[in-house]
This record gives sequence, structure tokens and C-alpha cells, in this order.
Amino acid sequence: MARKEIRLSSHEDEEVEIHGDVLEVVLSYVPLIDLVPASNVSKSWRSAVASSLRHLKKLKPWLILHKQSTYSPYASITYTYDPCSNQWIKVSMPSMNFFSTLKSSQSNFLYMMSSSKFSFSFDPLNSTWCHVAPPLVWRTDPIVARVGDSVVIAGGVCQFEDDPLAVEVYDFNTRAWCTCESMPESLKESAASAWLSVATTKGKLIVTEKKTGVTHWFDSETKSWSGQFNLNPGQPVVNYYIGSYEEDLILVGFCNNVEQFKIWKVSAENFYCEQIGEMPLAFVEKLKSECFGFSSINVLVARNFVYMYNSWEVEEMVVCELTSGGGGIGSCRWWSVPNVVCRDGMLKDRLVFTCSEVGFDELHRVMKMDNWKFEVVST
Amino acid sequence: MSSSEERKLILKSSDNEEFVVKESSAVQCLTIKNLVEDRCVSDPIPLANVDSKILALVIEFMEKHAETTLSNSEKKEFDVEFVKKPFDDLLELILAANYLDFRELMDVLCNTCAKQMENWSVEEVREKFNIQNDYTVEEEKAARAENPWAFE
Repeated sequence: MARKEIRLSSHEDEEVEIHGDVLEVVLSYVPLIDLVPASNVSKSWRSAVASSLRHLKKLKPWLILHKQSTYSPYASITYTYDPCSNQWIKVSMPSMNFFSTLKSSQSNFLYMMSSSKFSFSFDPLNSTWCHVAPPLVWRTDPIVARVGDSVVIAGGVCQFEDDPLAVEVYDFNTRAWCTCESMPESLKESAASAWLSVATTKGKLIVTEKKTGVTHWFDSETKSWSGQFNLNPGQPVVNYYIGSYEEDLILVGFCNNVEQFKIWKVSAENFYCEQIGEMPLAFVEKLKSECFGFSSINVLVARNFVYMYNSWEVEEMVVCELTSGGGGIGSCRWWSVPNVVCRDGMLKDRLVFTCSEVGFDELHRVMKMDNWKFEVVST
Repeated sequence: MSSSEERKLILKSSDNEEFVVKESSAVQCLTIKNLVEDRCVSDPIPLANVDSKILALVIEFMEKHAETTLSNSEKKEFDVEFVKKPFDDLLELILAANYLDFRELMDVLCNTCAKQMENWSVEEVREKFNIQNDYTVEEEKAARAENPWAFE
């Protein structure tokens, strides 16, 4: 530990005070949600919190869960999981009003759609929503992602529509939808969020077919598609899930010959796959559904975290933290988290998961301005 | 060699009380370990920043954690009991653990503090940590609308 200056404790009846470096160390043990009130204690504590966050405490992406009723008024309860403190936290958001079912096909992007409105949010806590006109084509299960200065919506088209591969882009600058080049023909049978895994990097939306690893990408500048590339991790993978990792991609794949999940780092330039980890078998068991095996696994990636769960029986989440070694990824730390929502809750309501890097600023703002309350769920 | 395991050190508190400890226990404190490795050990080792009451507690923790016969869960049970002390004592122990660079003790103490802070209001935190609120009423209100700090 750095010890630039030591503050002495007094030995007589004077009060003990903790300042400076020592205070920053103590604060680095405090969960993020408690750091917001801590910063209100005094001016010196405020700067100690800031300094502690800058130098000592590395924040980790939260898993966010919305448990939503399937019918109007779509009442929702939100929980978040903070991997730093290993706590589930119940969030009350008095200002939020959901007019439809929440959906997400990409890490921290949430949207709702009705015949008159398309609403979306991509800030870490989904506290800010944009409401715009709905896209032209009516869709039930599209891929929706924010790429650069736009929102891309593709596939998931209703049966009565003409083109199952239709793509539209909402541009933040022009504030309008425009129809773009449709998805490639090779994705015809799988053009929906249930069959495609998506990731975004550097102005590109990358789309991978979960069953085959067939990959295409959409450039938000040129508004056109490229590919096809077939992801080849060099092992028999039957389910492909991708996510953004720094400038590249992460691939989580299920190898059915060994019944195990493995992780590869994939270059966004040439799609070369390099294995970086594999899930210990004890955790693989936790993702297995009694009736449906390993189908319907969902994978969420944010920064160096991978959250996985079986959407049929979301009793436990498996988490992987990728730690960096020299010149890249060093190792994986695996653990599991029991779902805060009990079985009954899962049966009547929809569960929507996102994951994002929640920072001090976001928390501070929603607590102070929007009156959100965060309460640790006691286990 | 068995004789090196039994090597003892004398630690002297700020109020001049001397404590004899095994070197093998004491080197859990990196400050002391560095002195031993650099062969700068004076006899006794003066610890100007730690008084006898606190030093005795630190030594108690140190020796428990150095015992190889104890399991991790037994050490954890000890830790749980060890931190049941007045909060001011915990703060003094934190300062001592920081000064001595005693990571394990620091960990246990900081985790305890953090856990306790979860349940306290801002006012309670101020009271327990002996802090003066230096925000004016206007500043507290303004703190709501101020610009975010740049962290990274």
C-alpha cells in the first residue's frame, strides 16, 4: 500500500480520525452504492471517494434484472448485482414508467415498442429514455443495437411483412428512420434476436448465427453489410455467442463433445480465434436445464465480464471475470450467483437482463436527481 | 532451522512498553519484514505511531494468524470476535495496520467498517468517524446539480 503521509492517531482522549491515504484504502472496501452517501459526509470525504475510485477501486460491470409483468401496465421490479460486493440490490425508480414489454438484444441496450412509439435507452442504468416514432416495418423479435450515432434494427419481422431481412436505422442527427440494405440472404432462416448473437465495435454491428457461427457485419457509416465469415474456433462448437471486448470480440461457445463452455478472444479485423478460458464443469452443471439441456443460454458481455444464464430456468447465473496478464488476457475467474428472483416469480413474469458499467456519476445522479433508492437484498 | 523459527523480536510501543514476539509472526507486518530483511533491526524496534493498548491487540491478531495449526474457518471465527470492539478502537487499529503494513489485519478491519457503513446514515457516519460537516446548506443543495467528476 502506498504510504505517502501517515496521519497519526492521538493517544489521549482526543478523537481518532482517519484521513488521506488511509481513508482512501478504507473507502476502497465500501460498495459503490454506499460511496454516494459517503461522498456527502464532508468535502474531504468527497475528494477521498473520488481519489479512491480513481486509484484503488476498480469498478466492475453490474448485471441488471428487470422482472416485468406481461400485461399492462407492465409493472416492473428492478434488481442489480454488483460483483465487487457480491450483492443483489433492489432498485426503486419512482420516475420510470414502462408502456410495453422491455426487450434487449445487446448488453446494456433496452427498448420498448408499440404501434405508436419506439423507446430506447443505453445509459448504464437505463435512466434516460428517448422516445421516437416506431420503425416502418412491424417487428416482434428484432436485433436492436446502438452503433455509433444511430440505432440499428434488423430482422425479427412479423410474418405478414414482405422482407424478413429488413433493416432500418434511426439516426440521432437527422432524428429519422431510414431503410437500409437488408441483411444477407444467408441469414434468412435466422433473422431474429432468438437466433442471432450481436456485438458492436468501432461503428460496426457484428451479427453471428448462434447455431453455426456464420458472421456478417453492418457498417453504420456506409449502411451496408459485409461478410460472410464463418467463425472457426478450431473445436466443435454448437452454440456461438459473441460480445464486445475492448476493440475486439469475445466468443463464448458450447462444445458438445466435452459438454463444456469455452471462451475465445476474436480479432475484429480477421476473426482469428484464440482460446482464453474454459468453464469449470461444476458451473456447466448449473447452466443445464432439466428439460432443455443447454439450448437457450443467454450471454451478456461488458468490459471484462461475461454473465451467463439459462433462460428456461434462471436459477443461477454463472459469471466469468477475465483478468489481464502480460500483453492481453491472463486468466478467468469463475463463480455463480443465485438468482434473486425466486422460481414463482420467474414463472409469472418476464425477466430481462442487461449488463453495464455503472459508475459513481450515474449512481450519484439517479440518487440525487431522480430519487432512486438502492437497497441491498438480504440473503 | 528450528532456531530461526524461534527468533524473537522486541517491539516497543509509543508509550514505551515492550512486547516480545516471534519473528515469524511479526513479519506478517511488511514494515517489520523489511527491517528484518534489510538487517536494520534495532533492539527493541520502536513503533512511534502505535500505543501499547493497540499494539497488544495487533500482536494478538498477528499471533493467531501465524498459527499453522489453525484452519481458515477457525481464523475467521477469531476475526469475527476480534472486531467486536468499540468503533474508535477499530479506527486506531486501522491506523496501526496501515502503519505496520499488515495486510490481513487491514482487510478484516476495512471489511468490517464497510459493512457497518452500509447501515449508517450520513449523520451516523460523521459521528462514528468523528468528522465535521464542512458543507454549508447551500453547498449541500448545489451538490445535487454539480458537474460530474472525471474519473477515468
